[in-house]
Amino acid sequence: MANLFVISVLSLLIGSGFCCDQPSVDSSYYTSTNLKLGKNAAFVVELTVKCKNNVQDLKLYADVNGVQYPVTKSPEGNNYQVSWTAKNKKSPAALFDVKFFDESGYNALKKAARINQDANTVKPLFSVDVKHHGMSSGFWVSSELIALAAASLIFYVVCNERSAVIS
Amino acid sequence: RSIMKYCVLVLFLSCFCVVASEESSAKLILTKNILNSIITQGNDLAIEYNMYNIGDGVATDVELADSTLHDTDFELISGKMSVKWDRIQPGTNVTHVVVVRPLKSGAQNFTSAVVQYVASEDSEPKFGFSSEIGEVEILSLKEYNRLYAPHVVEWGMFGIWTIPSLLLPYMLYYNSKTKYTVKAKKN
Repeated sequence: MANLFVISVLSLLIGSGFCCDQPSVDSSYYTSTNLKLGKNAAFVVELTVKCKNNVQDLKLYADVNGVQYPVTKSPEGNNYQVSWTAKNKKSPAALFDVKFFDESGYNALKKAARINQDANTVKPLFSVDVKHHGMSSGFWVSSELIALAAASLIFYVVCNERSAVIS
Repeated sequence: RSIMKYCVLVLFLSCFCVVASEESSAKLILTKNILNSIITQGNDLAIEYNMYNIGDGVATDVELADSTLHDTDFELISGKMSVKWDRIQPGTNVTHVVVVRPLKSGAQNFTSAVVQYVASEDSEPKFGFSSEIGEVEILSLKEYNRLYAPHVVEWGMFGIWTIPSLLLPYMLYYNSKTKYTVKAKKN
């Protein structure tokens, strides 16, 4: 009887040890915005997660637009990072809803994909919004083009006047 | 006798099974490459680390550390230099990105990052080095602006300097034009 009690208490402790209760997330992100430096875009989301039941060492997975990435952890502290890249293709301005799942959530997500169920039925542990402003190379019209247009306009006006005088 | 033969066969096959399961181990290959096309002092530089598990076992306790980007030469903008993954399944790959800003211009040697992982259960941690990027020329901010900045101020100054050489002949023409058209009207 006592053994059963001990086992049940232990299992409860172990069970709660892997689930994060009411996570509070502090996040920051980075997205590539300078097109002049290169076409490849990098996206980095860094976060600090504190669980109410003080669970450390969470095993998290991030879902970005249907693609899952494992979340890395820094050796010390509760800092996590997930990063992905977009190489050789355009990265227009977008709002990424990055959903974070724990181990059980990730397994549920994979199961939903296997049985062709809607992935939105699996509830994430928390989610972070990443606003990507798009990659730009400065003003959409280059200054050389404006200078050329102005010079052409002046040339056209002068030519008109000259032909009016000559004729 | 047939039973004995069967037992011997089962024993023989099970030896193979034991040997096969002992051999499943992970092997990680780490590549480090630069995402930028242009690297400048004062502008962001994104470095991507790709880790591929080409073995047939799960790699556990995977730790990536890059200590080659010193504080004196690079300012860390985003990402952590030292991260760990719990496990990497065989035949899969993971990505890690770090964004820094070079503080100095000139030639810079980008050397390898280090990965430490456990290839199979209860084995000693293995080490691996990433691919090297080698020596890369970092453009100074002045050089970058010379090539890629919008040059709006330069064009504006050029416009201002051309105004006298355009305005002066135009004023002469305009004066003579008004003088002669008035005379034509009078006639």
